[in-house]
Amino acid sequence: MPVGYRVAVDVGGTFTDFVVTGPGGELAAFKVPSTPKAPEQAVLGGLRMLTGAGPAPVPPTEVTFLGHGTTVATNAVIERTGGPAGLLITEGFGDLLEIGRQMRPSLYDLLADKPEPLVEREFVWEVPERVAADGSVVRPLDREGVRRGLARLRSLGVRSVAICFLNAHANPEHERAAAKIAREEYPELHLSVSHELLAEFREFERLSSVVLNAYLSTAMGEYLDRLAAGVAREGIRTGIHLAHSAGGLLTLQRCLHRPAATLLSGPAAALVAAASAAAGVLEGPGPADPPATDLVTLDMGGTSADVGLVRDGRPAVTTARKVAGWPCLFPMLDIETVGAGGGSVAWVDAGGLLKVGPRSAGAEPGPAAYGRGGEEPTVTDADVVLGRLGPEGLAAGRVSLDPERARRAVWDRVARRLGLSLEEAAWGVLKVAGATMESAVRLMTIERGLDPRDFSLVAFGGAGPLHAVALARALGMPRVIVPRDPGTFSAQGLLAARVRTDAVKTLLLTLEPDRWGRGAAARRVLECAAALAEEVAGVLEEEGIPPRSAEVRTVLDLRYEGQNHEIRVALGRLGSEDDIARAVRLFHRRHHELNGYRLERAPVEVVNVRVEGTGRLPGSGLPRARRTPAPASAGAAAPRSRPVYFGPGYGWLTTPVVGREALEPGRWHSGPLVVSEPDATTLVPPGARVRLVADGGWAGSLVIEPGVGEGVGGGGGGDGDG
Amino acid sequence: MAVEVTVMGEAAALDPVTTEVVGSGLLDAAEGVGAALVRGAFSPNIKERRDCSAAVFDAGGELVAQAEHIPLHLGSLMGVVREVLRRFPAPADGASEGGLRPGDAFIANDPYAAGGTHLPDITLVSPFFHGGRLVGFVANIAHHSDVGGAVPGGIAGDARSIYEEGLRLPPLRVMEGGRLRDDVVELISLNCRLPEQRRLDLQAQVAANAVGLARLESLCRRYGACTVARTMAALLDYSEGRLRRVVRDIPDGVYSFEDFLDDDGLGRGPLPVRVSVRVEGEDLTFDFTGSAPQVGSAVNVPRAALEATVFYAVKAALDPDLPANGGFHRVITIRTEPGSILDPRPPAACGARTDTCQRVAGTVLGALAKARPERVPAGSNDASTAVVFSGRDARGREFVYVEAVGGGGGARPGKDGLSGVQVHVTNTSNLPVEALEAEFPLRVEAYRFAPGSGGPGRWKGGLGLVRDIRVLADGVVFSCHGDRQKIPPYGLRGGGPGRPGRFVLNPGRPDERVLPSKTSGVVLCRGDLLRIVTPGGGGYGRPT
Repeated sequence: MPVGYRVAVDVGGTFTDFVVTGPGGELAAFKVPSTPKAPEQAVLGGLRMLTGAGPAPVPPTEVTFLGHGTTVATNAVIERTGGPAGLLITEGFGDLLEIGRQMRPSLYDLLADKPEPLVEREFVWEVPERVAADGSVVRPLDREGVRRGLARLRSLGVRSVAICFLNAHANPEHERAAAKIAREEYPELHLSVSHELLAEFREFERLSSVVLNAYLSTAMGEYLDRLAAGVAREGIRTGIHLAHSAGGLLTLQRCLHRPAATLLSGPAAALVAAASAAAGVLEGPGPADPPATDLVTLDMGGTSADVGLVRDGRPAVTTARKVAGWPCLFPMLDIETVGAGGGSVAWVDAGGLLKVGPRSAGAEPGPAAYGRGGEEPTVTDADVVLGRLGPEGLAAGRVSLDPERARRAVWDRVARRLGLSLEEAAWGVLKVAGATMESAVRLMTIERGLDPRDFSLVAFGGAGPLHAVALARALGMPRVIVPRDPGTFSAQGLLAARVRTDAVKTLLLTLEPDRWGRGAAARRVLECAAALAEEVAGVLEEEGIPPRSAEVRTVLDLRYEGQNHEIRVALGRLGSEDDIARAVRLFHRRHHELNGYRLERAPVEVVNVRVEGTGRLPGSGLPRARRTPAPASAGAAAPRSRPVYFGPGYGWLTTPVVGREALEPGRWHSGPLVVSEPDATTLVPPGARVRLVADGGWAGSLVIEPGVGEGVGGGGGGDGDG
Repeated sequence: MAVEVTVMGEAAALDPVTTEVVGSGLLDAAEGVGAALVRGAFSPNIKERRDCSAAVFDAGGELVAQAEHIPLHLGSLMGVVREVLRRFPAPADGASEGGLRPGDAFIANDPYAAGGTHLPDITLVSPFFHGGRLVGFVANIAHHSDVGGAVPGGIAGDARSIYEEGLRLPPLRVMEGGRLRDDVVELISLNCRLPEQRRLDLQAQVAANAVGLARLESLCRRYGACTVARTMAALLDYSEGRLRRVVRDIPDGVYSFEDFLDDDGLGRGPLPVRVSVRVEGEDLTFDFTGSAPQVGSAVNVPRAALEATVFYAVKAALDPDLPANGGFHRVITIRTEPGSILDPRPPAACGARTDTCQRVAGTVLGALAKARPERVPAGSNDASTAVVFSGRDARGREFVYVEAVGGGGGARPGKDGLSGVQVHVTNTSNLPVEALEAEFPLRVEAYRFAPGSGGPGRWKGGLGLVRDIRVLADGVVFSCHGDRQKIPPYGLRGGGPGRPGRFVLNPGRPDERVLPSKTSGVVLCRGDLLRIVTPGGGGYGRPT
C-alpha cells in the first residue's frame, strides 16, 4: 500500500492538535479549539480544514492513517457520564466493589468520601458458584442464577455487563459459561469478562478494571460511532486507530471491546514520541553523556505536570495506576501527575506559607494575565511578572498576556501577604512549583531505584520548556532536550506509535533454586507464554499486522516465594528453558537494585506471565521536516531582547529572544537566552548553553546543558553553608 | 575530624518560600522511607497490608515530617527516638563513649524500656549527621508478623503479662559504622517464628532508612545544614501556631465524654474510658482520670500509644490538614493516673492496645464533638477486629496469617457513615482473597457488608463487615482480639447505636458457638468455618 497522508489528532482539554505528514514526509501542525461536549466536532472540523481549505488540500481518499488520542474515557469516569452497567459476581462478594481494600479515603479527614461505585449495588447480581485458587470447582455454576441475573439487569435497562468470578484466572470455565449464556440470550449486551480482559489475580483490582471497562462501553461506543460516521462523511476511507494507555494503537473495532484501555490515551502518545525520538542517535557532545535512550519526560500544560520515564528507549509501563480512585490493571504508561501546571494557583495558607496548586485556574478563566476574569495568581503569572513569558503570548498568539494583571495578582495575593517584593514573590511561586515537580521526578526515579543523573530530561507541553532547566539543575540531570514543536508532541507520537496488544495470565508457580530453568514449572511457564504469544499474534493479525512483522515480548512478574509484591522482568519471545534461567538472573539483579538485597538461594515464584505484541504500520515514524515554516508573525512582533529575572543572584538581565530557526545547528549558544516559538518558550538561564540538533532521532530539537547556576528550586538565595 | 566552617545563627527568620521548599524535601524524605519499606519488605504483612510507617525527626527528637500510613505508629516512632536520645546522647551534649555516632542505627520495641507501644512493632532509628553535627533522625516502624511469645503473631487478647507477648528489645545499636550487627539480628530472628522472614524485613527497614538519610544529605548539601535545621524549627512553630489559632476559636470550658470497653478478655468489664478536655485560651488538656485501672490482659495502653491516639483525634477533629509534626503536640497536655489502663505499670501486657486506643479515639472525638459539632461523626466501629490463623499448609510449611477487619464509620453531620473501613489509629489494607487462598489452607466464603449493622438516624452509621473463613487443614490455631462486641458504637444527636460485632465458629451448625472477643489458641479442624462480624457505626441525628 502506498504511504499517503498520515493524520494524527490529539484531543486535549483546550485545543485539539493536528499533525500531518504527506507522501514527501512533510509536516503540517495546527490547533483548533476543543469542543468538550462533543469532542468529535473539533476533530471533524479540523479534518475538514485539512481536506477542504488551504492552498494544498489533502485528498481524503489519500489519507492512509488516522491516529486519534482521546480523553472521552477519562472524562466519562471523572464526570461520571458512563454506564449504566451491571455486574455478575460470585455469591458472597456483592459488596466487593465498595469494600475495595478497606482503606478509608483520608487518614484524618472524617468527612471525606470514597468514590461512588461505578456500578450501583442494585445492579450487582450474585451468582452461586465457586472456583478454588488451584482451579478446582468448589461449587458448580448455577446457570439458572446467571439467567435470572441477566434478566433482572436487562429489566433495569442495563446495556453493558461485567462478569467477575473469584479465581477465574486459575479456571475460567464458570465465567466462560456465564458469558456464553449472555451472548446467546442477550446478543445486544456489551460484555466485559474478567478472564478475557485480564486473567490476573487479586480480585478487587481485577473487578475494578473490568467494571471500568463495562462502565465506559456505552459512552465510548456512542462517541466512536459518531466519530466514524463523521470521518466517513468527510470521504476518509482508512480505519481509525486510537492511542491506548500503554502507548500503542488499537483499531476502533477493538477499542469498542476494551474502552478502558484508552484511559491515558493522550499523555501516553507523548511518551511514545519521546521514545521514538530516542531510538534515533543523538550526536554526542562528549563521551560522558548519558545515553539519550534513558529519559525523564516533563509534560507541563495548563492544569498539571506529567512526569514519565523512558528506559532503553521504551516507555515504562505500570498496572498499578488508579483512575478517579479506581484501580486499573490495563497496562498504562507509568506517569506521575502533579498539580504544577501553568494554571496552578499560588496561595498563602492560614499559617503564612506559600503554596502552589493543586487547584488550577484551567483555561477559563485561566491565569490573571489572560485577562478573562481570573484574579488569582498562577505559575504562568509568575512567569509573566519575571519576563520569562513575553508579550508575544501563548498558543501562537491566540492567548495574549497582560503583564499588568499578572503583577497585580502576584502582588495582591502573594507579595503583600508575605511581605516580599514582587520579584521575590513571583520567584517564590516558581520555586514552590519547582519543588513539586522535583518530588514527582524523585518518585519516578529514586523511588524506583534509579538515579536521575543518568537520565536526560525531555520537556514539552506549553510550559515544560520554560521550567525544565531549573528542574534538571535541582536533580543534577546532565541534559535537557526540547523537541521540535513541543506543543503538539502528543500528536507527533500518534504518528510514530505501533499497534500494540497485551495479554496476561496469573500462574503462581514456584521455580526451585537448583533448577531455575528446568522441570515442570519452567515448562508450564513456557507453555503459557507460547499460548499468550499465539493469542496476541492472532489479535495483531486481526488488527492488520502480518505475523512475520509482529514483535512479541514476554514479561514475567517474579517474586521470592513468600513475598507479596512482584518485580517485572522483560525478555524477548520466550523460547527455551535458558530464557527462564536468564529471567531469574535479571530478577535477582533488579531486586537488589530496588530493595537493596537479593536471595540467590531462595525459590522464585512466577506470578504472572505477560505478553506484549507490537507491530509497525506502514510509514509510521515521527515527522521529519516541516513543509510550512512556523508563522513568522509571532516571532517578528516580539522584541529582540527583553529583561528577564533570574533569581536574587543575577537579578534582571537583558536577554536576547530568538526563534528556534535562528539558531545555527550544532553550535552552542550561551544563556541567558529565550527561544521563542509559537507554541512554547524555552528558557536558557545564565550558566546554561543550548544547541540545535542537526540530525539523528532528535533532529530539530534543542539540547541544553543546564550547567550550574541559580535554578528555581535550587540555590535558595545564598543561604547555604558550604 | 575536619572542622567544618558553618555559617550559623543568622538572625534573619526563614522566608516562607524556603520553608515550603525545604519542608517539601523533608516530607519527601519521610515518604521515601515509607515507600522503600513497603517495596523492600519481605512479608505480606508489611508489603500487602502496609502495616508500617516512617518519619523524620529533628536533632532534639521532635517529629518533623511523617509519611501518612498508620496514625498509631507515630507513638512508637516518637517514643523510641526520645528513648534513644536519652540513652545515647548526641555528641554536642558532651557525650562520651557510647553516644550517637554517624553510621549508627538503633532498634527497639519495648513499651516500658523503649517507648514502644506493643512488641510486634519494631522501630529502627538512624541518626543523621552532616559535617559532624547531628541534624536529625530518620525512623521507620514495621509490624512484624511474629516476634515470638506464647502465640504466633504475638498478639493474644488474653495474654497475662508482656512476657507472654514475645521478645522485648530496649534500644539496641543494630548498626555501627554503617554495618549491620549480625549478632543483634540473629538474636532477634532466633526468638521468632519464621526467622528468615524477620531477618529480611529488618534488612528492608535498614535499606529504607538509607533512602531518607540520602535525601537529608542532598538537602543539606544544597541548602546547608543550618537552613535545614532552621526549616525544621519553622515547621514545628508553624504547626503549633496553626493549631493554637484553631483552639483560640473554641469556647473555653471543659468537654467530657465517657465510653466503655466490653471487657478485658478475662471476664471483667465493662471498663470505662473517661476524658475531660479542658480548653483554656490556646491550650488543650486531656485528663483521663477515672478511666479503668490497668487489667491483667493485653488491652493496656502504654504512654506512647495514648499520645499518638490523642494527637490523631485532635488533628482529625480540629484541623485534618494540620502538618503532622511535633509542633502541634506542644499545644496538648495529657494527664493519666499511674496504674490505670491508660498508664499501665510493667509487666502489664499491651499487645492488643489498639482496641483500647480505638476507644480512646472515639471518646476524645465524643468530647470534641461538643466543641466542634460540625466536624465530628458519631461513634465508629472503634475496634481493631484482628485475627491470626497459623499452622502448617499441605506442603508442611509453617504459616501465619494476620488480618485486621474494618467496620462501619460513624454517621457524619450531613451524610451517612463510611462502610467497611479501618478507622482512627489503624489503617491497614485487607489481604486479597485470591492471594490469601493461594498462600494459606483457607478459603474465604463470603466478604460483604453486615446488613442492618449501621446505627439508625437522620444520617445512618456505616456498615460493618462479614468475613467467613473456611479452614482447609487440620490443627490450625486461631487467636483474635476485638471489642465493641457487647457495647455498641454510640449515636450522636439522637442517632441510634451501631450493631456490635462477634466471632462465630461454625454458624448454623449444631456445634455453632460464639467465641470470646479476646481469645487465643483455639484449635480448628478441617471444614470449620469462622465468621468474623465487625461493628457498624453509630447514627447521627434523630431519624426522620
